[in-house]
Amino acid sequence: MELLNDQGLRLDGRKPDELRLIKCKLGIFTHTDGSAFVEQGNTKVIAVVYGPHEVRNVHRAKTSADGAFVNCQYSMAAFSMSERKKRNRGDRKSTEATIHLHQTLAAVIRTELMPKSQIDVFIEVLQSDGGNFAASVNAATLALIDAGIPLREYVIACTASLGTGNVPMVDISNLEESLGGPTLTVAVLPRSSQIALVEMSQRFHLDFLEPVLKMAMKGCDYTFKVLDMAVESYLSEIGKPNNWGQA
Amino acid sequence: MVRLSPEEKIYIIHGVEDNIREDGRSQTQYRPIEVETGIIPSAMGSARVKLGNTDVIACVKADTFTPTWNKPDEGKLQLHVDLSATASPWFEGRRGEQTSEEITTILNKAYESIKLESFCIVPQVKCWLVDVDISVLSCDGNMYDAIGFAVKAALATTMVPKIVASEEDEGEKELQITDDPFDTWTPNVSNIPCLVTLSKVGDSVMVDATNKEEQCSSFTCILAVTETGKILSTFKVGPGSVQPVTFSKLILEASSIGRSLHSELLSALKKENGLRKREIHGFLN
Amino acid sequence: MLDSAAIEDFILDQKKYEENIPYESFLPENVKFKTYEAKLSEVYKDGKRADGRTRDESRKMYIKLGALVEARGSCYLEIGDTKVLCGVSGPREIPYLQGYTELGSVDCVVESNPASPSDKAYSDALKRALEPSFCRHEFPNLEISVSVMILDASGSALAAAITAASLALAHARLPIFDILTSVTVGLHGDLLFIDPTDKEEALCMSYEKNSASQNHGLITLSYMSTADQITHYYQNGEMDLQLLLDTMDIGISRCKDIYALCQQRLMDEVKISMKTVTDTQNVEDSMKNLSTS
Repeated sequence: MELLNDQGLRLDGRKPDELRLIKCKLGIFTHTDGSAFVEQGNTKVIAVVYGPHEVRNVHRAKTSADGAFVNCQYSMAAFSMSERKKRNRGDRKSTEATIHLHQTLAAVIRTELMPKSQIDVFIEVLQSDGGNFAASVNAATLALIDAGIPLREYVIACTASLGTGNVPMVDISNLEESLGGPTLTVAVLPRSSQIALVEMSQRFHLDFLEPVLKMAMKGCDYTFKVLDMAVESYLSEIGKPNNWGQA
Repeated sequence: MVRLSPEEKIYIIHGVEDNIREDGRSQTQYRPIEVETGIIPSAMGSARVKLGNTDVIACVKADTFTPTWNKPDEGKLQLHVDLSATASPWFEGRRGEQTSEEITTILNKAYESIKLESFCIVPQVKCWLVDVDISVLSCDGNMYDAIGFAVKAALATTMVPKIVASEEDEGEKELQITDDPFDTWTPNVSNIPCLVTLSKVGDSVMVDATNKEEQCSSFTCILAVTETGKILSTFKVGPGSVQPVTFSKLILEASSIGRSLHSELLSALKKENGLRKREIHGFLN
Repeated sequence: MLDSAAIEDFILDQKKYEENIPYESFLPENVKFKTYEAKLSEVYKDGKRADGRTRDESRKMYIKLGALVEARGSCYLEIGDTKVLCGVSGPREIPYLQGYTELGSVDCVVESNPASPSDKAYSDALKRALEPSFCRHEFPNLEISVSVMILDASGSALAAAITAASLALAHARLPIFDILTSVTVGLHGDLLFIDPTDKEEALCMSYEKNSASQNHGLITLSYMSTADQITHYYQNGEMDLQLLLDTMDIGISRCKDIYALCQQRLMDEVKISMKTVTDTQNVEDSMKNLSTS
């Protein structure tokens, strides 16, 4: 199977610089402070935010007078992959993703405004088809916005890879990932064009780093536009009925 | 998880005894139930059930296994519950895993005595092993009932590629997965029970308790009721005790409630099946 | 590419295929596959069960209170071949407790085998069964520790454990509302087996496909006789509604019978310890003797 066929199309018919369809919804749960659902192609992710609240007893050691403590958990449902696999909470992949998520979110959350408190961000991956971590970061951003937690700006993540003939491709699906190409995941602050996280699954030649990184950041820009529109429509949906609190 | 003061508890108990609960329901009324199947297309069968604010997803994956010598024509049904941290920060990490394991054990025991002869492909050679993964995304009381619905709805709409046995010369059967994508096997769900949770609050018995009402209950028990009203399994949860007279009434009530739940669920699934073009909403709407 | 995560997954998959194969599967065909009638007659023949009882007879019970000298209260219980030992200690502070609990806690641990970890399901069931009988409001922030060791599980193990634990609580002079007695009743076809052995329990959990009545199952329940309260109830199997209710009533009346026996045993124990008090002149000595008898 070729990642890019002779017409220059990928396995699912996309062009190399085309992203999958993105659908999202904020505020899917009522019992949480913030929640969001993001669907990128076949990847479905739920993010939930609790906080800011008092640091829970379990994490008491991590209370800090400098700022809030961000507690993340990344978990994949047992039915998320096509091969059913029950993942334990503390297993290697989940722990790694949790640490990366923490790193990414700590870059945007204005923790200094909420000292001695805790913010919980929980991710549940319902269906996994490549770009799980990227979708999780996007969902976490939306959930944080829904929770009203002060952020510097959005943090958007996207994946990119190299196709046949060293053509950079954006938004990698599971099939393309498993065919062995290197996958680069980038988390970006779109307005300030700053990078919060870069992760590579495999090594590839330094010459190709720039084009692939550029492709990923273009993907992030596009995703940012889509998510921003979703946030605007959600806010007007909530605010308009009582005329933004002035009814 | 929700802390109630003694005065709040008294208020709730009086409400239940007067047949007007906090949200206006009567003692035997369920919250609005929403069922949507096929929300996880990569699974063989899936269903999402919203029972008020309790949100549960069940996903079905089927595999084959060689049956044991003493049960040569029975398949297996295994349930696995995962209490997601999205339901409550209390379910984070190891503690959530432990609670999930406890609930899984209780549920598997309840589903133990279901007759699964319809899960047989070729006796003594191959039977279906059906795994149902349940993820509890949000919990506002009555989790078991929601799980019962989700499992039944997911199994009823599961489509597994059929395995056909072809006769070989020596009498040994060769098993093959069919090529036709529309030739599927769906488990027979007439044996699958619905779970009915009954709580005794004050002097009255009620169904479908919310988180707050669960804390005011002096006795809670869960019954697995079949379509015909037979009770497959009963177990008590939580502390509390009850008089035998009350308990007998409870069981009779559960049987009739279970029967009506089954008929409602099946008619809803039939309606969903009859919709020509159905857009799967999932969490977006 | 083989990375550590892939290796982890591989190991988890291998565990899936490790199954304990029971030795019965290696027996010769004529021994392995018995007809239903043959299997039934092994357990119940001509109106008598394998150990000579009729269907509504319980096995003989033996109760010894104070079997564990070191524990505050203890009870050794035998029902037929099932042997259960229970020890109670406390009250002591709840470890790692933050905050305040109005009601004391009963921490139960049930072990079937010293080498294996405690049976969580039985431990939880025992805790829930004991809680309504114990005066928890007298022990805020404190816990009572109940440990049960099932030495031999030959049917009705949980029922024996609950009864033993309740007697141990009474022996420990802890305030309780009433003692619990527990019983298991099995149903197969339309035959009722009171206090089944483990072979009879296995029979009750199975059913004969072609028979007229598909009713089968087990009911375990524990009951406070004076207070008329069911504190533990577990039923599994398929039963007609009316049959289920009737079976439950039979179980409750059997609990009442056992209750009389337990009451008598406790009275005997009190008489023995009172005798120790009245015999000695020195009050301090007699108090010491009272706590170690």
